[in-house]
Amino acid sequence: MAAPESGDGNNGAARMVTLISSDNTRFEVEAAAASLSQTLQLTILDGGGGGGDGIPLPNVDSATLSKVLEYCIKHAPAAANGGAPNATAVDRAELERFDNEFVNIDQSVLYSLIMAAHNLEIEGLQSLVAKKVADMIKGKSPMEIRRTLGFPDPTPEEQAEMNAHMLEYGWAYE
Amino acid sequence: MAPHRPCKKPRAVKDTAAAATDALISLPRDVLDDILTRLKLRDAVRTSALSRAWRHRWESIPSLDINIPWEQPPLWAVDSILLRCSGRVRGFQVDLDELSLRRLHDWLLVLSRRGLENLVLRPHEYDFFPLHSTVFCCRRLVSLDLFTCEIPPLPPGFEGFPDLKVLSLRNVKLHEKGEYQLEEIIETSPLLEKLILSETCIAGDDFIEWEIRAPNLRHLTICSHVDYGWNFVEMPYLRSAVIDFWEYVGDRDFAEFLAGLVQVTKLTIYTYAPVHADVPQC
Repeated sequence: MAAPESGDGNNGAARMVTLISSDNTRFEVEAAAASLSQTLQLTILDGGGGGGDGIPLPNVDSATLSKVLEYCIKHAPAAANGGAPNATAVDRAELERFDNEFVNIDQSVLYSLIMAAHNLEIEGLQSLVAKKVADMIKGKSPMEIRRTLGFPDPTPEEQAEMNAHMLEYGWAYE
Repeated sequence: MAPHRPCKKPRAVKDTAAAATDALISLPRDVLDDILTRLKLRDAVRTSALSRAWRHRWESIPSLDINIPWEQPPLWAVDSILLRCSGRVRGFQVDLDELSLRRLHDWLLVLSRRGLENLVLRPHEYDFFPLHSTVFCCRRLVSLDLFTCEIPPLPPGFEGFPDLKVLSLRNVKLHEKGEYQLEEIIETSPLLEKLILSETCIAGDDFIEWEIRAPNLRHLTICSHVDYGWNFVEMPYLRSAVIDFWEYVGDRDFAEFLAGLVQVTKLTIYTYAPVHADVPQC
């Protein structure tokens, strides 16, 4: 994805854009990083978000936006290289380490991040958070899934329904 | 299915936990699909146990990979999956027992309409099972792996497998003149990269020579204790080959055989019988 490589001709300084969270916090960030968002990319290409104006993001609060931008800033250089075909193994390993740590977060934050990645259409982040949730479910028994995802223990009624389901789908519970 | 009764009990105690649980099921449809598609089907089914809202959610996964572990009788599992889920079926891998063999034709009919890409079929016991020609209607196949079965003739109007990259026929039986059938399948699968013919038995006593034309083939394995008359004609990208010429060398031109493999960088030749042919220097 071609991101604007430099500022508006002012000595190659990176062009900056301002994003405004739902609780009115302003974030100044390089256009290349913000452009990882497909939603923002067109606005930025059209010259939006610069100067005194900012791009309002009414669906993303400041805590989530700050986290999203942390991801975008880390991934922007690789994305600018067209998915970094020349990236060294060290670079890739570093990004992987960053990603793993990045999603090591509270579930409430994770869900906010999922929604933000979805609304802002940040492809890499969408995959990363979806994979994280899938990993939380993989290979677990229903009770383990419930506990991992913070579900309350089932009521006797729910337990009876679960048992009936497990009987019907025995192959999935082996 | 459990009857739905309106819940009149106060829910205050559970609100916090309920909010957390609802967060996941309330995600946009495609986000949840993305998560569920990353799971093995078994794990996706297990999400049914989370709550009533989750009970049938797995059934709307847009794309399924059905792989039933061999310890399980596949009949109930496959039937319930195919009847409940309307999504595409990317993969289907089942060890067939006696009961499921009776359903195989119906399953293949459904799978042929669901964009099946990867098919692996093998019998649970070591008995040849008859395969129905519907398998040749799965036009979107990318990989076809058949083990210990009787392969039916091609149906009229067979148009080939335009996406097929891997064809593996191990311990299979073909009807008389099956050589031409193999030739046609390979020729009408222009993307074929890997071909494995291992103990492929063809009925009839005639020796029929046939040609392997596979412009994209990268790997070839032919293991058979009988010479079925294959000739290498067009395999410009072949890089590796495993050939067992148990009874091959005696009756045919070994130099011609090698000439068909000059492009290969890794060649494994083996035989159970002693080879008396003069091996020419390359």
